[in-house]
Amino acid sequence: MNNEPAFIVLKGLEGNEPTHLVGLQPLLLSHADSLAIGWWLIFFTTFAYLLVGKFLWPIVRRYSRTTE
Amino acid sequence: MFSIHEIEQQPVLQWVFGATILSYFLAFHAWIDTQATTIDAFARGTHLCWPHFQSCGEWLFLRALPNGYSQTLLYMFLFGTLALAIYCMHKKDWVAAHLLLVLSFFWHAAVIFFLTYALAGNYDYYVFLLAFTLLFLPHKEFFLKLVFVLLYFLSTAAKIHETWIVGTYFSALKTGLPLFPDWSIPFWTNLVMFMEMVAAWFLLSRNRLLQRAVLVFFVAFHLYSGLLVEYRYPATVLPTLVILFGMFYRHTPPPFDRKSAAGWTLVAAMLLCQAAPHLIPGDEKLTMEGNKLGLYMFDANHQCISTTHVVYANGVEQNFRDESASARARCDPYRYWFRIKQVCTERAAILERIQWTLDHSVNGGPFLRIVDVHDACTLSYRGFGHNDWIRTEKDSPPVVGYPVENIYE
Repeated sequence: MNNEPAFIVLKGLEGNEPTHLVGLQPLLLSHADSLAIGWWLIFFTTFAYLLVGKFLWPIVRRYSRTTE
Repeated sequence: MFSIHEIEQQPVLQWVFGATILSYFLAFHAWIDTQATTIDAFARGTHLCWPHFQSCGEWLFLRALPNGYSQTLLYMFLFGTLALAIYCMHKKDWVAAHLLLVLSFFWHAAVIFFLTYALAGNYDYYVFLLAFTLLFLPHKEFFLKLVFVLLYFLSTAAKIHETWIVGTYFSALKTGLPLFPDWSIPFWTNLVMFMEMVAAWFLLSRNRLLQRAVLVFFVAFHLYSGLLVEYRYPATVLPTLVILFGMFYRHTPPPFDRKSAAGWTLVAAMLLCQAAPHLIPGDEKLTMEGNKLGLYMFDANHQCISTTHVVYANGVEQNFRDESASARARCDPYRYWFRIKQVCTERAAILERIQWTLDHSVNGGPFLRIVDVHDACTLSYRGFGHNDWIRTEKDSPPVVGYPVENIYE
């Protein structure tokens, strides 16, 4: 812990929404939760495709070959 | 043992061996003068332990300059073993080279997972996982490639957040996103997410054009990232990327024999660790609970203000204020609590209580009072779950102000 002078400048509370957003960011921010769901869908779809298609399916195929 | 014959036979592994030695030189160069792992830090109460091993201070035994030189002695010993490993590589004595590198592996792992919470950067996770695969696992070439790509993929689990979807990490910075105009930030951040989440898998592809295109992207990405993260991360990742997926690339089919079980177990452990912070209630970017259990690089832009009001038994009172405006300083409530806890322990006889507040701003958003406790000395911290004294976004923590744009340093 130290007692250095403050260097973070706090703006007051009145009407001070974040002002650093530019371009499409205000629009994206208002839909951030929906966009996050979309990204999670891509994440899990990619994961499921790789897990099943590239790893589990070859194991099943190999196992079925050895038991034929 | 440890499939060293694979290293003896495959030039790609011999080159990765060299890149791993470079990674350890870089890590130890950064650590040789740190006080974080010294007995003096423990004596002063400035050490920092992992939540799962909060008594780590009792295991610290080194002294760094100017207090002593046992730490520099240890690191120069490791320097010698790494240099000797290079000589053994030249002599093609891979068993000796392997043994020498194992020494660095164990010290590095002990430091980042047990001896201190302060030094483990994400690039250390890269070094640990790649070195573990290279040194101990069978099917080294395949699992090195898979672990490498999986690190890209899993890193996006920390990026699915306003931080990268909107790009607020960078727009909240005074300097913005280096070289690119502010309006283009969301385009670049979403592109990186897509490349790491989906396109990175094409690094393992048989399709030469796609494989090379993705490789070029990631080479450019790591060079660009150096504008912010400087040398260590690109120097840790780029050589291995180029060796595995450029110079010696060939398609390697996944192994499914009994020997591959260890490699698949490692993959499962990586998935589990990355899931851990998501299983703890609350936004990990705000509470930081479980954050370091998985990859967290550039997960959010942080600013915080910690204030403590110390009341002594004799009636004397003191106020302390600690601020952090650097985006990459994580503002982890645990770090502040751990420091306070050392003071509580050391001054137990004369202290009455320590009142504590922590205000945390994420990605340029409002400062939220996520900690406000009457006596921090009575608190404890759980590493694998939610701590009730840390407010999540669902507890509606009060807004205490808004930050101005901050800095990356």
